[in-house]
Amino acid sequence: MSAATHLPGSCRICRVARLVVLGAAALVFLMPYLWMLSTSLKPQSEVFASSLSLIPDHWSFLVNYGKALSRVPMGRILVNGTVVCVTIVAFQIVFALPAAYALAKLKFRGRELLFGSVILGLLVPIHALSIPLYAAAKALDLINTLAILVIPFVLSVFAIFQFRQAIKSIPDDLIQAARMDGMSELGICWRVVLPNIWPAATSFAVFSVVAHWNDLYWPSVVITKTELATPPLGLLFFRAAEAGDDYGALMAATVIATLPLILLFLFAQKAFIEGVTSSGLKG
Amino acid sequence: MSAPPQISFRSVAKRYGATLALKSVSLDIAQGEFLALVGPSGCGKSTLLRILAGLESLDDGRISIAGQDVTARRAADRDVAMVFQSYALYPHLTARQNMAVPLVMRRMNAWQRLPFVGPMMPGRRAVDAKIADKVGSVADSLKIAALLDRKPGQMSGGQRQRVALGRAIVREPKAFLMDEPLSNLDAALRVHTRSEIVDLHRRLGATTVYVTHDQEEALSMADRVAVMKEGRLLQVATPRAIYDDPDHIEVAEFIGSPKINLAAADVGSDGVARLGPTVIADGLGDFHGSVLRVGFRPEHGRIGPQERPGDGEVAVSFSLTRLEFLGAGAIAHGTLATGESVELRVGHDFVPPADSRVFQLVLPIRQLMLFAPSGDRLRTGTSLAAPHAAEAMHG
Amino acid sequence: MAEAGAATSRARTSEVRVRQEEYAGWRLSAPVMLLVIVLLIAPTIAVFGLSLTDAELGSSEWHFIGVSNYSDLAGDRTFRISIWNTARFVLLVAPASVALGLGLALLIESSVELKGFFRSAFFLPVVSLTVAMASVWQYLMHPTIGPINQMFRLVGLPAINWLSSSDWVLTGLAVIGIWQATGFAMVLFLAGLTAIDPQLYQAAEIDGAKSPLDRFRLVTWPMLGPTTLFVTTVTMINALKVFETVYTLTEGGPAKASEVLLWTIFKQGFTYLQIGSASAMAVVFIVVLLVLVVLQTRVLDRRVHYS
Repeated sequence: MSAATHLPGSCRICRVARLVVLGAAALVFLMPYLWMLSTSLKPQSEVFASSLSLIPDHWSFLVNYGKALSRVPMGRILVNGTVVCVTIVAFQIVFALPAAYALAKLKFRGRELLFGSVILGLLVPIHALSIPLYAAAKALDLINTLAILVIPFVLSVFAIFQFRQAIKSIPDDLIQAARMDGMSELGICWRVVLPNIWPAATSFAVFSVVAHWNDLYWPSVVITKTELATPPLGLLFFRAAEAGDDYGALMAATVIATLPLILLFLFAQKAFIEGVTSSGLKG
Repeated sequence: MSAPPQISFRSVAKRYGATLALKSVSLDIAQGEFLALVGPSGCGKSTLLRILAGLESLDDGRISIAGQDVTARRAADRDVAMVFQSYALYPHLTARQNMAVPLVMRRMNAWQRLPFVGPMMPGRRAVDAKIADKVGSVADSLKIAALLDRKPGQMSGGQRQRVALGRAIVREPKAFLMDEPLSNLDAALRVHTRSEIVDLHRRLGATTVYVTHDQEEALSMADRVAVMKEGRLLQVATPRAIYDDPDHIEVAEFIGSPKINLAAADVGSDGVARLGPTVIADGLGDFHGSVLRVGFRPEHGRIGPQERPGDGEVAVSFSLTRLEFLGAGAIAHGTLATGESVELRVGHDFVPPADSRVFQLVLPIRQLMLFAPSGDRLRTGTSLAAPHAAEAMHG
Repeated sequence: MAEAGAATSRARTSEVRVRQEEYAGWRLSAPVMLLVIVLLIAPTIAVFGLSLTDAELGSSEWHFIGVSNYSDLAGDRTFRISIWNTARFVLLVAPASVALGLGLALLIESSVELKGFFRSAFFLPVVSLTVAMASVWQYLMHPTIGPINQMFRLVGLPAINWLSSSDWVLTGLAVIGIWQATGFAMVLFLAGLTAIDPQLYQAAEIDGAKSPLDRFRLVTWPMLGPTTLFVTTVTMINALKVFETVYTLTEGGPAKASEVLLWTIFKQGFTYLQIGSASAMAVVFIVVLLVLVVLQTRVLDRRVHYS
């Protein structure tokens, strides 16, 4: 059933009109991707010939992608992004799950205070705290390390909040039964709670990867070395190295930096949409 | 029936993919009649109601309401009102506003309904006053005047149910369609609301189609009951006829609680069916060699250690396994000598003797129902078995 | 006697149970408590504290100067431009992407054909690398070779200096912002739409709401109330955090025409190393976010929930 249900005789014109309008809108939304791909295959002369053709007359694949891979260590940058994202997600879940379980199912003094600070954390973005965090990183000599890309994010108040909501809906009886079976509280966390909130955990993981793969603010504060860059910062370095308007090479670099997440998205669309929807906030 | 039917289904069929949800259903409902559609879940009763409302399309057949073919008309143009299982009240509107919606949509033009400027349009005040009058009087008759300024979220289930009824009544539609309207109420309230709806129907005299899975609700409320199964109408008749004189074994099994008891009866080469040694029907030569089924209602037998069959009665041996005490009476669970388990209603006073669990069960032959292996009721040639049923057939 | 004994032993067991639970709660949340203090509370306090000093990065000397950072901000032309630009950007991006998102969601949900494809197509910008897509938009919006201006020329419109004229730069950035935020609003609206009880639409149809507009006014819009409020707040907060496109494409220029809050803070703190006044800006940023969220939860929430 849908918003436009009226039977009998759902109008055919309406359905065609819907397809036309949505199709045109989708074309506009996908236009940047089409031009990105097309331009990454065009030689410089064709880019500047200002033709609206999407198909290049002469293919310049090797030149453009060769530049994109050689001007900055693109492979290294993608690896950095992957390592940073995976480490962040792993730490976030390891820390968040027991705390979320405690907040949802255990009574202890300080619980309200902890939950209050989780809510506070939801409101205050990393951008606002970057100055003292940077000062601390500098004092600890962590600038220009991969570790400092991870450390501020190992605590995800959002994960705690979301997991707590999910754990609340697990029946108390199930947890009592696990206790009767002799499981420790930590054992309950990982062997009873985690399998039961798996959808929340995967959607959080997806959300977190999207957020940290795309983040530019913190990396540009703490990283100045190209070989430690994450994809967004790497692209910035590429743009700086590539003075002028070599759009072919630039588009090749953007394709390389964008592709991993888009491929992941195309394979797991449902998890992506749920993850980003449930978060509400990006970054 | 001489008066034209208020609602008429003609060979209505509905497919969902490869499955046939409705298989050529034809049914006439008289003006002012209360018809209950009953059947197990998935039998197609709700689909039939929703097709009548115009909420679902049909693949074949025609539907008319008040003499007009409405098959191609959308729901809004069929002039029927519906009470939904979840009540479907608009949560952002008060009870008063909820009940006014059908009138606002029908009596005001698009200009008058505009936000902000609508109230300034010519004629709007007169319409407003009329609608307020109508809503007020319906609310009085349903005793919900005090609730009118509450939103659905601030009401109990029973109160919401009344507002939903009120929204249906204000329109004075050609027919009321009710889709399991009591199933979200608790048991006590359900029984109470049942008689309220019957009273309401009597007062308004409006044609009502009532879908339910609860056979007791259907029997107690409706003028006629239509029993459905797997997309077909099995039988349409008065509650009494459905209960006492079912056409098909499935109707007999669905209606009545506890369920009807069934025992096997062999047909001999003489065309005579026997339950144990006793003849219960004759003239069944066509069924020689096959096993018929004999049905009897739980309240139709007598048991006791000293019971002996009289004239027109048959006795079978019954061994009691459990007595389920219900207060006013009890239900005796046990098995027949032929092996079938049966349930019998017995009186409050029935106390089985300590030494014996085996009794004589005495059944009046005229209250036995005979079913062919196909499930169809056998009335022909059963002069011994069901004289009153044969009369009903011809009358 | 026996009863009293059983009662005390029960009381003792429940006391033990309470103590065990207390202990377990602390043990399980201790790491997070520590992290909350180190990564959240301490930096928050530090930002407030720093905003009251004249601290500079790289210099160990600093003085407590009270609220003069804040009074300086009030008179700081760049900061005022930055606030004004950010507000304009939010007011360009949020209403447009909420309205577009709602429209697309309604259209997508109104039938079944290609539902999944459209949802993914509009959502793709949300998961794409902002810096990369900003570069693509820079090419698309290029004054001479950019396809957008070429199409404009084809239909006889004047070419626009999207990202390099101070009149247009905020609009150009807003186009990118809307492109990115619409899909996000759309999926939230889609979730809100599927949560509406279909029986409400059927009731509306039977009540005589014949046109799609009537059904939208009677059912969809009121039932989407909480979703709309949430989407609006979130879209505004996300727009408030605009940074990547500015950093990549305009660096606040030309002539501060695209100077926005996060960029100003970033520059003040990490380019000019004035962490005292940058912290004061960050505090302003936090306060604006707080006001938005409080407005959502305390004031407007009551008007869109009906139970």
